[in-house]
Amino acid sequence: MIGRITGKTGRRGHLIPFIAGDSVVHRLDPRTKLALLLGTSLLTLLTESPVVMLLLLIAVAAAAVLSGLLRAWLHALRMLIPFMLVIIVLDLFFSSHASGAVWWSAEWWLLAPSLTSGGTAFTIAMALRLFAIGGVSFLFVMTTSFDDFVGSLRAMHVPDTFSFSLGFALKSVEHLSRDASSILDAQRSRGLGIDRGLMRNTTGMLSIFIPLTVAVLRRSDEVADAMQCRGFGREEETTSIKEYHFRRLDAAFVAALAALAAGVFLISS
Amino acid sequence: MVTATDPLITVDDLSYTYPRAGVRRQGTALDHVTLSIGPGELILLSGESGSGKSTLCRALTGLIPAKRRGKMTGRVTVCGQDTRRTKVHEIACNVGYVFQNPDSQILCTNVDAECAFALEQAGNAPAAIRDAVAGTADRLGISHLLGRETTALSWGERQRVAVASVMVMHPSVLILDEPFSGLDADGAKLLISMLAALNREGVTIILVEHRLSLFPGFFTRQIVMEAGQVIYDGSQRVVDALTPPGAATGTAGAKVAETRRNVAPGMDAGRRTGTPAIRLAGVTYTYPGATAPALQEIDMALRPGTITIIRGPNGSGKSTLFRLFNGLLRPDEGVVEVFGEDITGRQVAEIARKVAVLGQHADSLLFEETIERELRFGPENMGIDSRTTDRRIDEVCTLMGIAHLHRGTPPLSLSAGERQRVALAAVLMMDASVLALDEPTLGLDGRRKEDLARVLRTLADGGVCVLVATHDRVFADQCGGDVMEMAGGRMTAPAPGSEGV
Repeated sequence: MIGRITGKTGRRGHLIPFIAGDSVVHRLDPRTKLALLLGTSLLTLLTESPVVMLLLLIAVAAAAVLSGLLRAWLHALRMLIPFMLVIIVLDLFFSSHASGAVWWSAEWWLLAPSLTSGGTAFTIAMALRLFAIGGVSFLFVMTTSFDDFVGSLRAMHVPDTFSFSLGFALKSVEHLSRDASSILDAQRSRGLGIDRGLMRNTTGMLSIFIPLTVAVLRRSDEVADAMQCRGFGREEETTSIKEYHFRRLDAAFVAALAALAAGVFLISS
Repeated sequence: MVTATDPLITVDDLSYTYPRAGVRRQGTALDHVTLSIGPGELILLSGESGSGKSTLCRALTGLIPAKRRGKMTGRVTVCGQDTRRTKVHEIACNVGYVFQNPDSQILCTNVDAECAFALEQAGNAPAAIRDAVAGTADRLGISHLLGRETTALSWGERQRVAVASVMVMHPSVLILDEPFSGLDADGAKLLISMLAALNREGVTIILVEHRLSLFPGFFTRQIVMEAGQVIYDGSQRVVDALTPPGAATGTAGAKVAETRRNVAPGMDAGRRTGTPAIRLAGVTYTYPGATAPALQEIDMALRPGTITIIRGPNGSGKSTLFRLFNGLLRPDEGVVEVFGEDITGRQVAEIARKVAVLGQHADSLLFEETIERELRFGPENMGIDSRTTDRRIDEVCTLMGIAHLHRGTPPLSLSAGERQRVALAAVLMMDASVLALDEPTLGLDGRRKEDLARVLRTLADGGVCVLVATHDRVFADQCGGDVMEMAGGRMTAPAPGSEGV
């Protein structure tokens, strides 16, 4: 019965939704997109130069423009602002890269914050890295459907148990948030006051946590049964309804990534 | 070799006990069941909840004993293969199983991928898969759903996609577990015609349903289970003759409601005037991020001591409406008043004293270690003193028919029907003047539904304003009361008495 928690409540927003479309980015082979995601992320990790990081972020933003989802993408990036603030506070004043001109420093009990030119450059680079990695990941999720993602992993001969579980785990987040909100609704209807400090009171916490655990366990059991009844667990290698082809468009994007990588190395050396 | 005259499935003296069955009341789920199912049969497998229907289905698909550790004796043979020695995915090619809840079996985000899953697992070539998916969709009349996102489908559409995702394997037997619960009238009609068409092609259909009587004359055979045993196996017509007249058509319930009206005409008239217990005026609500409003310009006024049935297809806005009653959702436009007071700015916990809302999934509220504590949770939150609660527990347990259960039993260890009743009891404990129940009959069998209808009538006679959203026409008739129809987020037929708001 618990499985029915889903049903008709699923109209609440997703964290980062897949947005169907027909842009060049959408049409890319999901394997190409995965390569671009990993390649760009790797490049940001290879450098600490703010200039290079900005270049990478611009490249990602250009891809976002091509996807036609610029507004939604920028909207999603707003979620990273709290993390950026943490980076700024920690890296700007307590940087391990403090070097160059010292603009300001202080001694507070055990803390010794300082503001240096080296630290500032590093902080800017780190904040840009956050947005570059976050941005490319969000763009991947927004332009690649779950089925394409699993399909691309299958096409790369990743073992099916792994690829499907990974994809399904991502999808389950959606179920989990729906379950949680419907459980919260049920307990609030029984007078549980979340505004009076749900987390201060053990019973209140349990009243959400226990039904949620039951829901998750029951769902995983049901899904496992359903998968077996549809032939999951065979020894044969699985195939995919969609065929993925590496086309000229994919080649162009991979070439762009290679050019970007070359640029990064040139600037860094 | 299997020939046309051989049975597809034979069940020979099958008994099964779930592991850790001691916690639940019923120990043995299946008790010496012997059956034989042939090609092209159209079978209704019925019985009350907990009678062993689902366990039997799981045994036919091989999920029992492959996945459950319980104790199984006897033998099940599917197309000549012993289920103990055959893998679940091999049996799946012969026996298709559509689970009760389409949400727990839909694995992909796209209808095409969903239908292709089984074929992908079997390692078919992509082009062959595409042809097979298109062919099956055409065969089942769901070609228009191909290419759509599974999450955007209605309950009924998801159910038909679930059937398609199984039928791509061309099984000779199709089992559907309670496909009609949660399905609206149109969805039910489409599903039944789909099943009739499949049966004409020679597919054996086994439909599980707790109601004894369903589409009289449609099925060629009916199997009735009780306490793990087959108590009837024969033509459907005989069972229909056995069911008390009216139980199936709902005339009995309507008659009771009629009598109630006749007994207290003065009281009824009084209930049409005075302050409404709950009043909505011009209420519009749109979910954040949604393009179309979920509710539009809802006007309704419900008086104390009345029962109102809200009907409408899946997605018509019934559940959204219920969340507005106690402030879980706040209207974008319009007002919600409880006994003449605008609830804007009031906290849910405060409104809950007067308006009790039970969502569709009663299970989702059970969490305590004992029934007793579960029932006390609501009143304690409300600050109701424990002596009043003590008195009320006995009343409510008797009313809901759970007085025989030990109060120290963990609610989560109970059967589905019992959990539903404990959840209802937990809501009744709050002694609210407005009681809003969203699909309260899911998981209840015929007798329990009748009992629940009686309870609701008693409460209404005591002055409670009762609202019920349900697809179940028989249950609606049993409750009596006014009927409101909803479609596309609007009230299409307001209840009499709500005019002039």
